[in-house]
Amino acid sequence: MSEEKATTGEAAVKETIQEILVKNTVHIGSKIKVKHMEKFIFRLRADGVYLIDINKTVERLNIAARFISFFQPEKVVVVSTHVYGAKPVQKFCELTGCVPITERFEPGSFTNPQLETYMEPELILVSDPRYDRQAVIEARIARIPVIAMCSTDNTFNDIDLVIPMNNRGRLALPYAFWYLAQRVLVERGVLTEELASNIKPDDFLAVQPSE
Amino acid sequence: MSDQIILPTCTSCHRPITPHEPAVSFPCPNCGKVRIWRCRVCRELAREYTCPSCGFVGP
Repeated sequence: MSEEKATTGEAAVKETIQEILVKNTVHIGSKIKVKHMEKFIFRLRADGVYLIDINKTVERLNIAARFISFFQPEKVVVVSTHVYGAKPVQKFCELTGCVPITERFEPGSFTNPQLETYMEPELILVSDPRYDRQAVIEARIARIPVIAMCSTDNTFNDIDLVIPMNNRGRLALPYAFWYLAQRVLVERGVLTEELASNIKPDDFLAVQPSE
Repeated sequence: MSDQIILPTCTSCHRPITPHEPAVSFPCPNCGKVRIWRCRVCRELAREYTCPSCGFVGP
């Protein structure tokens, strides 16, 4: 009986997370579909936009969080040069201790030891492999695994783990990073109830709702 | 003279990976028990890899 209750409770929580993500357009793709993303696509909308399977998005976010938790926080670099990705990445790194790169990615940051910005990360998370192409190229040279948030028109070249989601939305990126931050803390075993109540998706938004 | 070097093999194509090749290795994202190796070509072509322990298929 208690097992049934637990299962029902978990399903309810899962639905809630999926509903939250769907409400904030995390599942919206684009009008272009590439072959690599076919297995993550749910259906084609009447206006020609491909929709991403939200279950697979949540599953991959959980796997990505587990993957990030295998590494030391200071050895994980999160790159987002996208305008909507800067604030969520900064907040994500503030919570998890990772290193953010939200402005221009200086070429050589992972490959040229003479630069001041040189660093030797063990894992890279990029919000869009096309926007952050320089980081992906340098990760390939430096032999660093890459996690990427991919929409329906992104290819998987030089990427080791894909999170299928809308990576250009004003709300999609903040909510995805909010959920990912929570999951990373859960995987590390440091998420307390007090901390969980303090992590709000509004803090990840570039523009606060009241403004 | 009889010592042999055992090269790691790519999880996708099972080709031996030479030391200077820009290949990548990381623990399985799902279970973390097995180390996954991906050679340069498989990364470039986005070939799928499967974890021998948990069956996770990536990327």
